[in-house]
Amino acid sequence: MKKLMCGCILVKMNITIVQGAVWFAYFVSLFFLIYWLLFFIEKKNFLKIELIKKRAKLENFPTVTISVPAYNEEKNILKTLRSLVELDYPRDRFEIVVVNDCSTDATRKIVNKFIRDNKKQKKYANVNIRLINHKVNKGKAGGLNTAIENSDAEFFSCIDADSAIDKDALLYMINDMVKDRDLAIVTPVMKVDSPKNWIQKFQRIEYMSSMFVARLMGHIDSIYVAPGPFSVYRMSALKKLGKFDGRRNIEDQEIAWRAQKHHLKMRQCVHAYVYTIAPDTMKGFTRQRTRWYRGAIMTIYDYKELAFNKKYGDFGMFQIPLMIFSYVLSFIALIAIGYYLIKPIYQYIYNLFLIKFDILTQLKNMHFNFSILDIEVMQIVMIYSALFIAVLMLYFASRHTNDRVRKYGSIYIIPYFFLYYIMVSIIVIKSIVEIIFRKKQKW
Amino acid sequence: MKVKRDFNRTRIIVAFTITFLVFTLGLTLGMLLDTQRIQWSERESKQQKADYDSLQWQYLFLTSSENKEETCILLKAAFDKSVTDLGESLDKIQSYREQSQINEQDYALIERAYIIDNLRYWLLARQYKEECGGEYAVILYFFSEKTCSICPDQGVILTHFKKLYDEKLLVFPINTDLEDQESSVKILRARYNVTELPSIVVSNRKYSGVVGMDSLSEIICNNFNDKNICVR
Repeated sequence: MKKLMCGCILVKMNITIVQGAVWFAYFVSLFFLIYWLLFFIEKKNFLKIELIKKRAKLENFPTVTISVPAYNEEKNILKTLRSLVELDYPRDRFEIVVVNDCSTDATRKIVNKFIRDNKKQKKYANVNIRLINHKVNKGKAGGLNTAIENSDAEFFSCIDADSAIDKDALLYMINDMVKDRDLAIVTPVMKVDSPKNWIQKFQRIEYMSSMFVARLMGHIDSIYVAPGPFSVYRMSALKKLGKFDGRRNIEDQEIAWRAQKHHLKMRQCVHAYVYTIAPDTMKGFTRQRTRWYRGAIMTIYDYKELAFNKKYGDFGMFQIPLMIFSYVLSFIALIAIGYYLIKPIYQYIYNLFLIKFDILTQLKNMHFNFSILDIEVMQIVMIYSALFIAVLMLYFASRHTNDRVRKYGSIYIIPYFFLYYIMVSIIVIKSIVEIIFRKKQKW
Repeated sequence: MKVKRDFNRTRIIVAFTITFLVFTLGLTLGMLLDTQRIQWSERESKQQKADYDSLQWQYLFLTSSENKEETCILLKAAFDKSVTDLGESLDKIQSYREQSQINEQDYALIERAYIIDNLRYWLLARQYKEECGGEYAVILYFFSEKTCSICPDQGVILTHFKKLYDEKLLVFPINTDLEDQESSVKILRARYNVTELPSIVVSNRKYSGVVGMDSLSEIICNNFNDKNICVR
């Protein structure tokens, strides 16, 4: 009897802990949402002016090296190279450096043929395309480093084989760089390329809001990722920062953190659009996100001295705590789903089992005596106030990324707020488990 | 080339204050609602008492009356309605109490009043059966919320039968957690020698442990003289 009592008290306590955790998660989430909303309202006019497209007028076009790290890219490389030579930028002022990282397919042959064909065409004859072959496989970061070592341009950029760039993106980005000589890294606005299924459509909405937030982050010097496809770096800054670091497999996040550590200036160029092909299967999505989240968590760990450090201003005191919290939130979200969704469903099925699934009797005698007193006010205030601000921010995001949320159907917005975050939470926890597991193996 | 780092404290304080206000708004509304719920529960409790007084008067009238049959029918109808109301509002109050973070004591007091009501109705149901006869089964259901993890199972099965038999079955739940405050619970427990939870008492016989669908169906059926009432 006594044992049973202890068990019951524990269950009761657990419910209180879950409730407390949910309240805490809600409070902090709402706080961060309100913070961004306040910031947006504060800078509204400034952000509007920034959006006005001013054709970049450059007198002296600086030189740019665009690196294309390639490993077995025979399918995509041609499309990528074509989009690069089409860039709206003086053709003698940029060069393309393809770094073939020991591809075992026809990548090398295709690139060589492209270079030969290109020289015959008048229009693109001036574009300098080089192919560098690695003797050993060095990974993506290695490819980037090779391109940097072999470049004497003023600016450096790279592109992933699965991304397409807007024609005038480079021009706008270099324009920003020339206007503001303090700028070290300019990031593009990433969009999901013509989403087809629901996984891609979810990601499209997510990119939209995260790119908007990334832009806001830029204005409090808190950008923590320089997207792999087509961020532009000032070469002098890169030389100062050192080589790309591929150890965590997320060199684009790591370089941004390193730039933060060195107090370098990063901004998003609001007119530079890059279209990337998002994973269209659950498996592909999980694989990509696991790599991102594992890398992101390890990077936070690597740069932990920046967290809660006043020297790093809003980045240290606001942005890093926000990132840490978002990982904690994943745990709370899953526990809450277990308690408030899975447990009641299980209970319902178990109860049906007890009455031998006599559903007919249940249905026949069902009657609702709902009264206004049954509403759970606290939960409603909690959920709807946060949801309201989130939807509002998504609306601003769509307007400020020159896009419409409902372009690919509005039905995806509703499950986006519920289902998508559950998906992401599960992947985050998977990533954390993997990190811990890996560590144990090492020991 | 270095950025001038800035930590904007004002924005954080303003954002925190707004968050705090929204949170407080939710809490305040929740508390206001809880107060309303308690008022409603107390009103319901008073209603139950008035209903009971009325029923008792009807019963007294019945015992002194010659035309018993007509009064019996009227009394039974009023009685069924009261017992159903009692069950429903008790369910609601229990769910309100679970949601409530405060006012635990108020709810405990209201629930105690409900126990007494239940026991009164139970007594009345027995007296009525003697006086008027009639085909219905009466179940006393002993349970505990604190010390009995399998009790909800019995609750689910009993609710199912209540739906199945409707007015032909009267279930009176007795929460033994309130034993210390309410000696009537103690008296009943001793009368039927209830040592194990959950336990049900049907026609003065005690059944301990969770009584499953089939056994309970049998037990209930044995109460009816007219076997056609049995649902199988």
